[in-house]
Amino acid sequence: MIADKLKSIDQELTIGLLSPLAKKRLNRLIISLGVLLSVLFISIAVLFYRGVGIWGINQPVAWGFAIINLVWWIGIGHAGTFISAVLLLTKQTWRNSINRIAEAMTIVALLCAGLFPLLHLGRPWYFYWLFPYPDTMNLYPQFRSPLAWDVFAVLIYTMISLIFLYLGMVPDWAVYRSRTKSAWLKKIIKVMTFGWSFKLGQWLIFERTMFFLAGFATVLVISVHSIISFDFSVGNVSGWHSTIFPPYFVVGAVFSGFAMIICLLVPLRKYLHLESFITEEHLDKSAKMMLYSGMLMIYFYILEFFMMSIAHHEHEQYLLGQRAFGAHGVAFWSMILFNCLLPLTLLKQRWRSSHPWLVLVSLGVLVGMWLERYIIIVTSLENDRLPSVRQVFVPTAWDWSLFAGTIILFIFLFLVFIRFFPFLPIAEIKTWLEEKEVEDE
Amino acid sequence: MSSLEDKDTIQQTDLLGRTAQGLQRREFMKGAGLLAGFGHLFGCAKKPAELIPYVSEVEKTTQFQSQYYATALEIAGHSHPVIVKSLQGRPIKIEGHPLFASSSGATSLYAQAELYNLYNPKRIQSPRKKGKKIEMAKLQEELLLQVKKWKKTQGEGYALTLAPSSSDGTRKRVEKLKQAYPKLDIVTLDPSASGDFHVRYDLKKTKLLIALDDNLLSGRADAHYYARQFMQRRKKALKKHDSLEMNRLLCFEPQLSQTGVKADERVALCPFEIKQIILKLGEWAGLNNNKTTINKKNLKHAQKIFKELSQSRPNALLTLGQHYPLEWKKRVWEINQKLGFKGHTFWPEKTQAYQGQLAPEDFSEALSSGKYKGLIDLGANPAYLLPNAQLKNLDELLCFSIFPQETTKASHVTCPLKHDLETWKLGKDSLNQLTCTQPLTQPFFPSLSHDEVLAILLFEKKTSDRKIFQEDLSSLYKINDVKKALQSGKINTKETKTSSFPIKASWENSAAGPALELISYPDPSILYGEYSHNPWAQEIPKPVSKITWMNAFYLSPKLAEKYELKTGDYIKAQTSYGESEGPVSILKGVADKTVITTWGYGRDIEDSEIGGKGVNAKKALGSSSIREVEITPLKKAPYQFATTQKEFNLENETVLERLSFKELKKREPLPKKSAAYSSEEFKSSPQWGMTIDLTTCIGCNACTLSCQQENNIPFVGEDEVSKGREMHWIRLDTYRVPKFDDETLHFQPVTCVHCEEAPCETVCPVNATTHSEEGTNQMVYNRCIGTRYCSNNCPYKVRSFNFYNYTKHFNKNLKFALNPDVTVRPKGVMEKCTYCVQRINAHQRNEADASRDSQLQTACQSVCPTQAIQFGDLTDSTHPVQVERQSERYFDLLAELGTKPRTGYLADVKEERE
Repeated sequence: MIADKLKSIDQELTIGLLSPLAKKRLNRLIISLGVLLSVLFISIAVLFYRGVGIWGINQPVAWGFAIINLVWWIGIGHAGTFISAVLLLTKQTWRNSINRIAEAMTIVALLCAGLFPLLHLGRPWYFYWLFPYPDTMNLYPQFRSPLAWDVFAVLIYTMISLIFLYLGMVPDWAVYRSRTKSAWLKKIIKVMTFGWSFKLGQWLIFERTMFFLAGFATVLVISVHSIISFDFSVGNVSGWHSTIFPPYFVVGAVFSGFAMIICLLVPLRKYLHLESFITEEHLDKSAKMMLYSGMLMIYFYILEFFMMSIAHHEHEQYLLGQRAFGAHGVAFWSMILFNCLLPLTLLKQRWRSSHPWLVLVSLGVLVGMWLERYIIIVTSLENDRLPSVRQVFVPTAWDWSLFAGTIILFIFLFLVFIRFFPFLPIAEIKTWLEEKEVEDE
Repeated sequence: MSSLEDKDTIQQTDLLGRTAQGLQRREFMKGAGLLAGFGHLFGCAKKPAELIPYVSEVEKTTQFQSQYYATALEIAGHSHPVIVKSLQGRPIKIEGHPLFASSSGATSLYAQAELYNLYNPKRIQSPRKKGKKIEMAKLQEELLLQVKKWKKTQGEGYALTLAPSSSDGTRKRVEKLKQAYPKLDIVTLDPSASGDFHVRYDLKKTKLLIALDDNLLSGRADAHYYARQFMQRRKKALKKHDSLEMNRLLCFEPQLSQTGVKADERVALCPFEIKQIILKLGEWAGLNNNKTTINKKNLKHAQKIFKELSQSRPNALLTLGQHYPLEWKKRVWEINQKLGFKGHTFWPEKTQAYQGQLAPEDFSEALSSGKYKGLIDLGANPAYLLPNAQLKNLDELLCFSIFPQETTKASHVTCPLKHDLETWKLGKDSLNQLTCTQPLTQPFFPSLSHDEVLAILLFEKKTSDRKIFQEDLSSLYKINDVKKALQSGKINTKETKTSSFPIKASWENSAAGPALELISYPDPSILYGEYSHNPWAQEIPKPVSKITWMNAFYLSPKLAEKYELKTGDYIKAQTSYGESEGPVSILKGVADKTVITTWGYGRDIEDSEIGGKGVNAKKALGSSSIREVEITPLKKAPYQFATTQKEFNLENETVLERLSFKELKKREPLPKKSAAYSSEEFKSSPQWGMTIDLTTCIGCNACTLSCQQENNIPFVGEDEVSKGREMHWIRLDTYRVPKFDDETLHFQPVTCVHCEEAPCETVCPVNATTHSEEGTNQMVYNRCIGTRYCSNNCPYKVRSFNFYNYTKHFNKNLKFALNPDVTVRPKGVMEKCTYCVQRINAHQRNEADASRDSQLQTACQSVCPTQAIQFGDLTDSTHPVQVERQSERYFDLLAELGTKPRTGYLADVKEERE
């Protein structure tokens, strides 16, 4: 029985994952999303032409959607790295079939995130001043600034994630090389795959490299969002200046990342008929990860509010009150609902195994985590220490359109990946299958 | 081309006494360069006029060095002596004139705003007849045609309206006109309606000042003089802890004025109650015998006033607002006289009103009745000031104005007036000192001055303002050394003092007062509408309500509750005179039975920025300031005010310190202050620092505008202000501290405090904000990429960001007003106070003009009427700024953050009694 099933999986992997119908559907979706991408391009063009004034930012709320979105997208990327690296290190073999999808999500989310620090600048055409390049006037970035750390953190993260994704695909590309008939393609793929020819020695090096990279990426899972959180905790704004931020942000990132994974896996599985690769077990484990990190978030919220309520500076207590009952009170209570209460329903096996509910909760978590950043950034800035400068932040249509634009970009790029790249790690799954077969026999 | 032959010709003279001698060609080139923006108009001028800018090089000067000229600006009928900085023929900064007591080196907000008015692109740019451009000569023909008609009827059926003027020469010419055309109706339309009676106070001697609805420290032409006198005395008392020296200010008023904010005790009363109190005081002073009926609460106030006044005899003073009817003002002076204050704290002063003029109301009726065939308006704007008058009946309306306004809209012939920075004229300041106005630049447009128009009407030979000036100076004041007069700008003339009041008035006393009264005051930012067209002034937040670009009906929360109104809701105010509409703003501290508004808004002009916005109080009040009113809420979408401050309640203790005089005396001198400038980093000299005295700050906003002018700070418009993006480098925070009491407000000017441990500096990823060895926090504009992190991390939020390309306004005429020593900041760049680093550098290069007081002053400091701002080198222990730092009143803003600010504050001290 199992042997039969494994055989069919093997066949599916070898012949091709996407049915012609699925390919057609995907093509249509990609094209329509490509048209929709104009929302993003128009938003960016207007932004560059007119300036960041088109957003709702003001004094004192000098940071708005751009930074919220940056933090949110990077956070989403985290789950991918978590799955591919941390779970590889801890030898969680169930991850094998979804790790490529997770890695792709990371890269695509990082691309979306990477837009924001650029667009956020008042004078984006000088973004390169953030890099330490040999300048004729001996000017360097200032390394005391968390924003300068961000540049390195995000760039390193993107680089490692890219290498990880690319190297992981090498054996799969090689499979494609053996299948294709075009001599040119064969040559190109040979270069792309560094002359991979399924030799034992190559496999050994491959595994070692991946293991090493996984170790490196694991460190990044923790460090990147910690450094992003420094943007806030290093500042002296009440509501930002808190030592719990690094772990709080890392856990939050993994939380939202798993929510995004679930949101991507469930429809993929359904519409591309990948039930044999993306199994109930995958979804269940992802849901459990989300539940677990969500419970950690509850702990962090309690900690944050407690710390604020006993802070020496009475302004922190004022701010806490404003968050809950001020201009953005709705956002606060929605955040509590989406991030704390709804995920707890997943404690029950029955709720967890209902896919619509799972997707709904995950979407809630995505919204909730976005709101969390909104609350941290906006309400803290709005409720300045000096009452005279307090000012409410009202996002404009351009704020929303740019955010929507990056969501479209995310889905677009992700689908492009699914359509044209080996989104299942064929080699890894096959290895795993063979191991399984041996076990069964 | 030849050099000037006429040796007697007077010329523009700067403070060093340098005049210009040179070729007409060069002069033309300079003028042409300056007028590049108006080149097409310049072509109309026949010759470059008599104004001769400095051309040939004088010793120790270069072309790029600025010159300073003493001149004067006439604002609402009073001359404001100023010194104007000019560079290459462009006036770029207005400062006060230290030789005049009315200025003492300080200026009002309005004098600062005049610079923009000079370059204002909205100015009328050429004479027009029925909308078509005409030549100046043609316009003069039109004028003479009018005069010929006057001659036929001795002026019958014709009228001339004038804006108030302080010039004796103008008065002389108007009187001449009246003699020549006895039946010509001449009307002076004074928007303030206060001019005919004048009393001078001596607040240096005044120990107790009781202001009855009198915004003495800010709301009048001579306010700065009094504010300085009052605050100087208070400062001295605070320094010595001398209770005998300490002055006391009580305020009874319907609006919450700046004087009310500074008062030691303030009571909100409506005008009717104030009148009752005056009657009661008069009764006790033995002036009127009939018993005044008064309610218990007001009786208590009256008793308190009378008791305190009697106790402080003779160094006390009771004043009433200028907007009250004459008989009430006279009554108050009688009370003062009876109590024996005359000669101690005040004396009456003769004023020279025009004789034989028509009252504005009579004129308004005559206009509507169709009495006139023709009207010449000389900058008075009757269509706005007399809203009930019908101008349609006129066959001919000639209007002279700087800006398009209601009367120009209705006029057949319009002609631009010269701006004061383009004019020669004589005037009187608020203390009756003679002032000389000399032009700083050629007129930008073919235009005439008041005096020139009058001279044309009189068929005088000399019709250029320069010649009129010269003639007036010698004929009226017997002054022939014109050069000397122009150099310092000050001419000593004999002061006219009178000793008696012309008093006789009848008194009515009704027990029941009006249910609701409407009162209007001069607007704190645009006065009577003089600065409607001025975005600098429009964007200045009103000191108490913080509204910009608008005015409102201000109501107390109690009254608003009665009518179920919220801020922004529209109401209609109906009086016996007329009605006006507008949004309300709810303001704590306003008297319950009053509706407060300000003059100058609700303009009927086709202008997207100002047209139709706000309350036109003239429509409901006419030329009176107080009337009984009925209000009805209107169903309209509420107006969103562009306010710069939303919260006024202060809960944090380290933001503002307030002490009573008693507490101050008990206070131990604080231990040696913070580590400012003592750390290793700041060993060199000088180390810059600033102190701002909250006791003396009267919230006049002159500092904000002076800074805007000096540092090329753009205005952003109402929409951007409502988004919270105003660019001012120094702002005026207004707080109510519920811990002390719920009513009193406090002013606190906030600008970059130049922290030694600056939080902004460490977070900039590109090092665009750094620290100088002299302790100033610098902003490197061309390194800034606009991450805005510095602003987030600034606990004082004093940084402003160029969200858009706000400087696009500069591309028009305003680019001539730019200070070349300060970078114009592009889009996407952060900016903030620099401690006027360009002035520091100029001072250090020793380039400061020898004729100027070489003392280094920041732009905000130099115009402050009460010297609330001190700036200087902290390593000099005798410098006022260091002395103030050692004061027991000194505190750091948000000291708990450990930023070690270089700008510190001195606590607000009130003379409180139980």
